[in-house]
Amino acid sequence: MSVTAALLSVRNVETWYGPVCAIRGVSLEVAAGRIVAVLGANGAGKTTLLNTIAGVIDPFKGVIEYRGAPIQRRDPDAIARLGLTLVPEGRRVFPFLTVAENLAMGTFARRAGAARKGDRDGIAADRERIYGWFPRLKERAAQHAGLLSGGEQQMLAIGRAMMARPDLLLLDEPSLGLSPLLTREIFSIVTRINAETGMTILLVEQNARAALEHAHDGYIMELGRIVAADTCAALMQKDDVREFYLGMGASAGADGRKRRWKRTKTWR
Amino acid sequence: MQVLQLAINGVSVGAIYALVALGLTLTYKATEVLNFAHGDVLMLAAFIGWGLIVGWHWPFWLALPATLALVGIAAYGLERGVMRRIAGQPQFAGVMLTIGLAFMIRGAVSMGFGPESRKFETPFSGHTTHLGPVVVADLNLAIIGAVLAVTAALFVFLTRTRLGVAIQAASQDQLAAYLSGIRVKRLNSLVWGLAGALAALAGMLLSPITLVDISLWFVLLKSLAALVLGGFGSAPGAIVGGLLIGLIESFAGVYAPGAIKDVVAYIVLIVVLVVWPRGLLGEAHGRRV
Ligand SMILES: Nc1ncnc2c1ncn2[C@@H]1O[C@H](COP(=O)(O)OP(=O)(O)OP(=O)(O)O)[C@@H](O)[C@H]1O
Ligand SMILES: [Mg+2]
Repeated sequence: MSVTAALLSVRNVETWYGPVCAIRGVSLEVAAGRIVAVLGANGAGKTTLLNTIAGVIDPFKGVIEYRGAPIQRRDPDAIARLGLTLVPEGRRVFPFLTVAENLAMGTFARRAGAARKGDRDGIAADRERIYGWFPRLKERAAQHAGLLSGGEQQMLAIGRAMMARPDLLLLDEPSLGLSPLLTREIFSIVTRINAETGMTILLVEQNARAALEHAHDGYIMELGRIVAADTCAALMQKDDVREFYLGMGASAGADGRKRRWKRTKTWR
Repeated sequence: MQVLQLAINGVSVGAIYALVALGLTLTYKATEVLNFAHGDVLMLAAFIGWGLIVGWHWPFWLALPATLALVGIAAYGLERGVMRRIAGQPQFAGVMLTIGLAFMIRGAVSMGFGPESRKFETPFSGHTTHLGPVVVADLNLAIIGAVLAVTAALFVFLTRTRLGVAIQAASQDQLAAYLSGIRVKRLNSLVWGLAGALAALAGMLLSPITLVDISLWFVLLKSLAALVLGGFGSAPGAIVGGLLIGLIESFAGVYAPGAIKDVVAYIVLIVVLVVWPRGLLGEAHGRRV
């Protein structure tokens, strides 16, 4: 999909939960500096894919290469310290730590290159930058994270991940449970982070429209397999994508209205 | 005056229970394992201390840190080598494993040292201090002072240092801690080591009052009562519960008939579990053991 060498390359990965095969031979590539979206219905295996990449679950087979070196079956904290940070589904902030303490926990994954000990200034600067993106976090810096609203917790989870200064940020449904307004806000900040820092982002979304509008490349997953891969612009032109994911019923004939209603309902 | 006297005795024994209960809470929150070998670790530490002081003629002030370090390192190794293997298993596995370990420690000590009780001297033994009208054994003052200092240090460590806050983070959401790059496995070992050292301190403070004896592991049961009374899973609750159980025992020894003193902690345990399972400072949505 891109001429530059891939930052992340997933090849033929298969992941099982006991007897259940959740992803069956998935391959994808994420080129440095891109925003890549993975779309798919509930249960398609998107979360499983991100968790497998981040080391939360071990793949049964396949290769996951990050910066050209295999990382599968390593502990998730070791993978995080390589500069690959996952913001998991459902945010998972530390509820009884303050907002500021939550952000500070993100610094454990800063790489040795970022000089952990003598990096006070760098950490403070990063924190201020995150407060700049999410002013609401600054107002609530001394408050327990468990008392934040869902949207604020999502901001905190992204902020905590950013404190690690990752090279590759994985976001699992950043818009989960957020209002359309807040979803747009989160996506515009994700785009801004990518533009300002050049950080590579791989995200999973239910909100296909927002994802396709903001990402560069897209993959579509169904039942544990990748069924389409292209740039987002190209994906948005495809009839089935328009129909199933954007609810636009491109191939609508006389009965288009009715079909669209039915399909969007099942695919929601 | 007798009331004050009893209160001070109660608080000093209660401080020991609090220390033991605090260690149990720390490991439970970090690894979700209620360590039933904790009392035997305490007992083992008392025997090690005795061996160093009486057997090898080490001065108390050298034997104390040596025992704490030795037991702390052993507990670190225990988590790393054994407990880690059952991570993710149902809680029952942890209960059975630590009960097994408890019996192994008990058996090893009774084979190695024999059944008779012993004692060692501390710099405080046999001295008393007059606090107004009350005469207090220096040993009791040393216990209260040591427990106060250690709890304060622990509090500062857990709330003010990067590592301490990371320990809290890992106990609140282990997966999120892993994903933040925190070395959760190493921290868990560290918490076990810390709890082991706390148990060793409790053993070195308690055995001069009682004796160095296999039955020291019974402190575990008293501390479980303290945990239930204070609210399971709450560190402040462990401290309050420990002090209260110490006080209750102390007063029961004088004002209650016969052998009530020896069982009053268990009576409290059962009554609290039945009528008030959350305990004094338990979390509102806390799990029940
Ligand atoms: N812990 C688990 N144990 C067993 N099966 C699981 C587990 N987690 C997920 N699955 C199964 O794996 C499949 C993929 O789940 P996954 O959570 O990856 O889907 P998803 O695409 O993230 O869905 P959603 O959009 O609802 O978050 C589903 O069929 C699900 O039932
Ligand atoms: Mg999911």
